[in-house]
Amino acid sequence: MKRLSGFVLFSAICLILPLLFPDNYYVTVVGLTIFINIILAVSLNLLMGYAGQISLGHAAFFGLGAYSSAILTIKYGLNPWIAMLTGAAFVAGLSYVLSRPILKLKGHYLAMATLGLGIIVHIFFVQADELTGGPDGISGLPSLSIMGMAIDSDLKWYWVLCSCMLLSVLFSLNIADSRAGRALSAVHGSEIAAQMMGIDTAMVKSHIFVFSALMASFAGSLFAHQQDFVSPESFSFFFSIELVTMVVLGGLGSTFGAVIGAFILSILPEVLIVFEDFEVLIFGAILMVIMIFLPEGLFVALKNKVAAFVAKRQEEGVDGPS
Amino acid sequence: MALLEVKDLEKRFGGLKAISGLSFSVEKGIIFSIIGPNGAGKTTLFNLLTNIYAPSSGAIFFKGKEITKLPPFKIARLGISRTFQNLQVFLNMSVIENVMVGCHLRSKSGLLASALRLPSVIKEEKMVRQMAYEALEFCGLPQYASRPAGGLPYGILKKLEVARSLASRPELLLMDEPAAGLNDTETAELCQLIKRICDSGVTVLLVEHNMSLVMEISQKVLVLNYGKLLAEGSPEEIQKNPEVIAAYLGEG
Amino acid sequence: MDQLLQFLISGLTVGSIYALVALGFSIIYNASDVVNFAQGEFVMIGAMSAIFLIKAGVSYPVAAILAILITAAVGLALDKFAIEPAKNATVVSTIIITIGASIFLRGAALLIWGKEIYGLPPFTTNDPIKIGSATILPQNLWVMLGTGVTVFAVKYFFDHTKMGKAILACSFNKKAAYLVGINVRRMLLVSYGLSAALGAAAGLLVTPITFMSYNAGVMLGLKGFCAAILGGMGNSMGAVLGGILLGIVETVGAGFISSGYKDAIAFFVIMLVLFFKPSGILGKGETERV
Repeated sequence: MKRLSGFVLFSAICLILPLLFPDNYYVTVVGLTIFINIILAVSLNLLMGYAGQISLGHAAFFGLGAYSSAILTIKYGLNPWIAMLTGAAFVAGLSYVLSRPILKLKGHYLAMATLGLGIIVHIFFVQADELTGGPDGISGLPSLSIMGMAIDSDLKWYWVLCSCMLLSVLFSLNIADSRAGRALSAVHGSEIAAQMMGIDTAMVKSHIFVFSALMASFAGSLFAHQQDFVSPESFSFFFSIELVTMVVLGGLGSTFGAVIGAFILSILPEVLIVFEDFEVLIFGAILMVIMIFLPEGLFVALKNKVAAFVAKRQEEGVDGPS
Repeated sequence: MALLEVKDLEKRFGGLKAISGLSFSVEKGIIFSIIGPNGAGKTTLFNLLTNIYAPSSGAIFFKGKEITKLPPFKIARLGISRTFQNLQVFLNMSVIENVMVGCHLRSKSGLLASALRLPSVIKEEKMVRQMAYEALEFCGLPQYASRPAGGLPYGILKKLEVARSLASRPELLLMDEPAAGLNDTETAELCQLIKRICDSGVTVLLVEHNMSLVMEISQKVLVLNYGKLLAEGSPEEIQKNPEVIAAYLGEG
Repeated sequence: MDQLLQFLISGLTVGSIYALVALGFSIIYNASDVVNFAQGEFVMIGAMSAIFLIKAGVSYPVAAILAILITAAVGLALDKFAIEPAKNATVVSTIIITIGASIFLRGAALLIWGKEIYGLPPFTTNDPIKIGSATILPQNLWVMLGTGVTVFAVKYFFDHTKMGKAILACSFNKKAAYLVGINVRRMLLVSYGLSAALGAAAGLLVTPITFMSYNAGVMLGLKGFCAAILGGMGNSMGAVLGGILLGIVETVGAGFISSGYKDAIAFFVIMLVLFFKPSGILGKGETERV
């Protein structure tokens, strides 16, 4: 299928890597972080890039999924998969209830409300120490098992997270090219015109908010089991901002843009560690430089350059070599 | 039974009466134009009909059913569509995608089904794309189908809005100053397009400044002045009406 | 009751700082529709520059003035080298640039000044004054006075000077401003410099009370942003009002309810206000003309 040719190539690369480099730290350890970040970035992109709704609080849903899994498995002894689904149901309900009033806001005010949401949830993680373990978090989650086989090695986690990541990318690509995706883009393009085409814009915004929150929640649960540990630090406002940066860096509105953005922002700190004290400075500089010279995002800029190149070649082909 | 009926419609913005005591009805199958000097309340009327503004009092009926308080998307679902004076094209999508949004009401795949790309979704996508293409052909735009909407000339975008609205197969099409900003050639094309639309069974309610266009294609003309109905009748009757002439050219 | 007075004093103090930071956000937003995420860093740079100038032997007042000038220069550099080259970018992309700038400035601060926490001496002797059963430090008064004077000066600048009015013109309609001969680019530059100077002033006022370190600007910037939104984005007096309200709500919430949850309470209140007034307290609703 031509539509998914990029996706097939991408999947092939992801699936081959651990076979070629089974002991490579970057593949087996950093790869896990990258996969989680991709799921988060792709889900945020559906909300921000397609529907055009800014969210500075996405880490909250990630954290709620993670803490739900941790608390329900350790304190209440639930089966990890049941705990994950319960957490997801809770996040779905919460995000739905919040979506209606929050999504009535626009622009910076919406950003503010989502920021507030993220910070309130984070503070709850830190303060409600009876339940959440406070700043020290919770550790010792039981392992996740699939059909009796426990996922207890980096390699096994690689396969699990890779599959989940590929699934979320596929979902996003499917949505983009569908009636639902066009409705999202229409809401972004002109809410009034979207309404005149019969789209219930409030409902569309609400649904995608819940959908992206759900994806984050599942990512959170997987993250909790993989790390064997949850603490508030991973779900702060800073991480929400990092997620927004990933989406914009790669190219807002593009699924693969979110993938590239997540990849770069996950790998950059690892790469920059060699610069020691200069790490933060250089990281900031790279961000600025990329956005100044490629404001439409890395992946989108690349795609446009390739498309322009192909169009030019076609033109020359028609006219014949001069 | 008239297709659209407006009864004693009134809209106040603070102390200003933008529309007062307006009543009229639109028969099915005609081209009905609303004209009036600038500030007469024409776009306000359209915004009231589609409930972008809520009326201060009065009622609007479509096919006998009251639609005064329905949210815009429900009004669209009843069979009314609209183009805008300030273009509301989805500049973030391609031309054909814009029109495919117009087909929203004629398809039904939801978010989950789309994510999973069920066979029903694939079938529907093909159908929607075909319907959109037909709408583009009707408006003379098929060659622009895969072009991004942002960056296309104004005249093309105005036609795109029409194609998008037509894709939803409305019974009533509201066109808000469709000829604004068009040159003579484009206006002549528009004239033909509106006639074709009416011939295909769609009732057209038009707000326009371009007198020759209005007089050429309309079966009925309503003149608004200061938010009130000044005159209503056939184009010939309106052109001869002394009050209308006075309103446009000023008294004395 | 006397507790309330004490909280109000603290709240007004911290609120004054938020007001200055919020005002800085508001000025840049007005001029360019961009939320400058590096605003908090201006506060930090102002304070840190002053601290190290004093360490190098410069007198307090001179160090303060130099610190403001240095920070203003950083603001100008931010506009010239990061914002201006990206003039065709979308608002969202430009915001990411300011996020990158904020990280960059923090990285630079880390290199230059390290991770330690520093303080500034209070402006005058700091013996507590009693008002009823509440105590107020002279530095608190300096903060409120300093903020009041600064806000007044800024308001005067925008209402009564040619350059101030020119900047306002840019915020209403850049094209129109350009067509009447206003150098929009230069006005933007001035806005960044002015916002940076405001940030530095806030840093100088607050550090004698709460100390400063390389990453203390982030929370201040965040709170300033919230205050600007609360007051109505783009309304300068709204930003000031928002800042003061935020400071008071935060302190009262910490005092009467819980200090751990104080930020949560403050945000909750802001969100509540937004649900009833979606464009902020003094903000104008945006109506789309169709």
